[in-house]
Amino acid sequence: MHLEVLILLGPLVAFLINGLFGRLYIKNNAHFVAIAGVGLSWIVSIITFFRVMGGHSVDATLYNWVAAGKFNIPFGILVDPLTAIMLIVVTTVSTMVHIYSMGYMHDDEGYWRFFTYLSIFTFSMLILVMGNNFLMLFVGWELVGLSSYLLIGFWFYKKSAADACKKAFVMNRIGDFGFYIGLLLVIVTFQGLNYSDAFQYEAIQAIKANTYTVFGMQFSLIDLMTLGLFCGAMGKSAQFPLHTWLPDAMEGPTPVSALIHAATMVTAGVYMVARCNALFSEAHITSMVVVYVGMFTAFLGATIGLTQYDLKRILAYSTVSQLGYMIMATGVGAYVAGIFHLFTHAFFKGLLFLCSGSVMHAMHNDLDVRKMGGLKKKMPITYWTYLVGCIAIAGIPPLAGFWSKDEILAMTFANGHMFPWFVATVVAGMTAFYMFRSFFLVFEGTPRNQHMHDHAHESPATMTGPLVFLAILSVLAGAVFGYPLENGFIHHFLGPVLTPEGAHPHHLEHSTALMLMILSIVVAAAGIFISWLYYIKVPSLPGKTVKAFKPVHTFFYNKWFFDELYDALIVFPIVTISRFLWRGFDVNVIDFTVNAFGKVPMFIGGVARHLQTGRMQTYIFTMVVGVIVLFTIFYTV
Amino acid sequence: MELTLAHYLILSAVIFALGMTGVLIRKNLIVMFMSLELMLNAVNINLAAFSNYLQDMTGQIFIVFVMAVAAAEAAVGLALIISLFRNKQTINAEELNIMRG
Repeated sequence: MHLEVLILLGPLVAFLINGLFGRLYIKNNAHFVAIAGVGLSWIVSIITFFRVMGGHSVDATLYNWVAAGKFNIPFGILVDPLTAIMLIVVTTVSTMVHIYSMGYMHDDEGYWRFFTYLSIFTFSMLILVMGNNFLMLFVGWELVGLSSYLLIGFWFYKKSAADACKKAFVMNRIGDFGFYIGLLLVIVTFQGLNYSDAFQYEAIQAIKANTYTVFGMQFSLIDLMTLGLFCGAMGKSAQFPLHTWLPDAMEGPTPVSALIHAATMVTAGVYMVARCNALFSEAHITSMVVVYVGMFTAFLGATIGLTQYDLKRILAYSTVSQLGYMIMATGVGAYVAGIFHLFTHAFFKGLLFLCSGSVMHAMHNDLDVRKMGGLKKKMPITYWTYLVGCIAIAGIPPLAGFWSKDEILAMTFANGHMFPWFVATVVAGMTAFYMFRSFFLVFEGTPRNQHMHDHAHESPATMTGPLVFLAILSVLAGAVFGYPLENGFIHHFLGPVLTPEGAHPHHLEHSTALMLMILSIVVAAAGIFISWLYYIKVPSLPGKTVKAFKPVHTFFYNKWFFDELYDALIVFPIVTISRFLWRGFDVNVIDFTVNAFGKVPMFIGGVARHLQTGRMQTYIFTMVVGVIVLFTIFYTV
Repeated sequence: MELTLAHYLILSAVIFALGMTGVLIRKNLIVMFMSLELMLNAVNINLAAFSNYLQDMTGQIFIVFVMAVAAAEAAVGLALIISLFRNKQTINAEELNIMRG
């Protein structure tokens, strides 16, 4: 029995207890069970982390799940440095969100249901990161999708929430289709699902030469495999073109947005790519796709984030943008940088979302930043923690975001991807701008809606506690793990598992690295300065800029019209064809044929019914005539 | 004049025909019922005649059977007619056509 199994059991048991007894018996005490479960996971995860630091690792089969001839699917767990980091991220943020939810979801009629879903989510995410084979990854993958669906649609009586959860599910399904294909290729190629089977250097080199022509283009087998897997990552990690579900997912309760749609679930794609680094590093076409998808998503998210007015949507697009960064990092081969950014991002983005929840709490669920302002005095803790989150995400040293983001930029530069590097640097400036834009609009200046401002108040301790804790992590996590650049603790820790065999990592000259670092700080500072200029110093500037760039602003404000485009290209044709098949084919052809079979007997019956008069004397008469006729026939012939 | 088998058979046939005509043309259920009894008894005459002619007791035994059935039928049939009258206030066969298709 491995100690790590406890990590899985905690949330699972909490889920079962709350799920079975929550509605009738536990009700508003559900948080005790859920926090006990996730707390156990958290403690064991920290212990595991230190044990892994000491060289401990586990790759064990707990039992054989499917055994079909030579083909086996074990239910096994894998604990290595990558898993240990993910465990820390998942359980820390999850525990904080659990505590925060005690305050935030207070008085909600679905209190026990909320904690039940949180537990099943935590369990699923842990399955995802702890599995030792592709199928367990996939099981976790689908389970987090399910729990995300349940939590986005938590207030299912709101149509927008019900629509959003369906959209999230369908978009993920599209990506999962590719994921299936990738999985099948892995099974067929490596005759097994275990990571240890698939990631063998010799096995990969052996199949490297296999190429196939798809749509007139030459792909190697590994390219096809990884492209399939990456489709799954695009769905789960909200990459272009499947990114549209994530902003809509903000319909869910804010703790859920923080946990699932910022810190953990959406990073599953990054985790998967990093986990499969042995495959991805050999897939050159896929790597290009990954870099440019990540780059474009980062740019897309940032441009939309610039123009939004809904606080949670700003954060959601910022998440899309940051996920783009991570994906881009994995594409250029900087797996450590990608995971490092995942790690720091989980803390500061989780923090920012929880802050937005705190603001929402104070503003009676209104999220329009145009109605806020001057909340600094009313909510000091939220103010300071949000500021920390903003500085962290903007990339000002020594806060967490700087270390990981700068590393991604440096590695992109070092690997010779100049255009992605340039775009990512611009995006870094934009990120600093729009994050501080939201910060200034919400907390600084004068109140824009006096009535709402008067009713604003700081949140209870159960909510501010996690804020402070995450703020501390946002300050420290980067420097503690990432200093010195490219040679910090995290590199030594993750390096062994995330450096594919045969890869030649590029390193920068010390002076170049320093130049890049200064450049990224300058860009971030410029973003913050422009933001200050626009929203504090000269408040008339935003209006003027919008007027000057009207078409561009409209384009960005409407999210590049992606929803409209998908409606026109996909939804509309499907609805039109379905309607034709329904009205035209189903009703006129199929129903017509079936009805015809019914109508013939009805017609015959309609004629024959007149024989049945209901008068018995007619019947008797008929019988007598019949008997006479029969006698006549038999006695005359 | 000697009574031969033919006389009996003709009597039987005449009574049977009368009974059948009654069943077919009368509208009153009671009268139809009596006509039915007439038909049964016509058959009885037939059976008795043949029994005597063939010197075989089987025919007469069957007469007892027919009479037993007729008695039972009378009891049930009359009860049905009474029940029908209570519900419909009529025993006119013409008006009892709720089973019309």
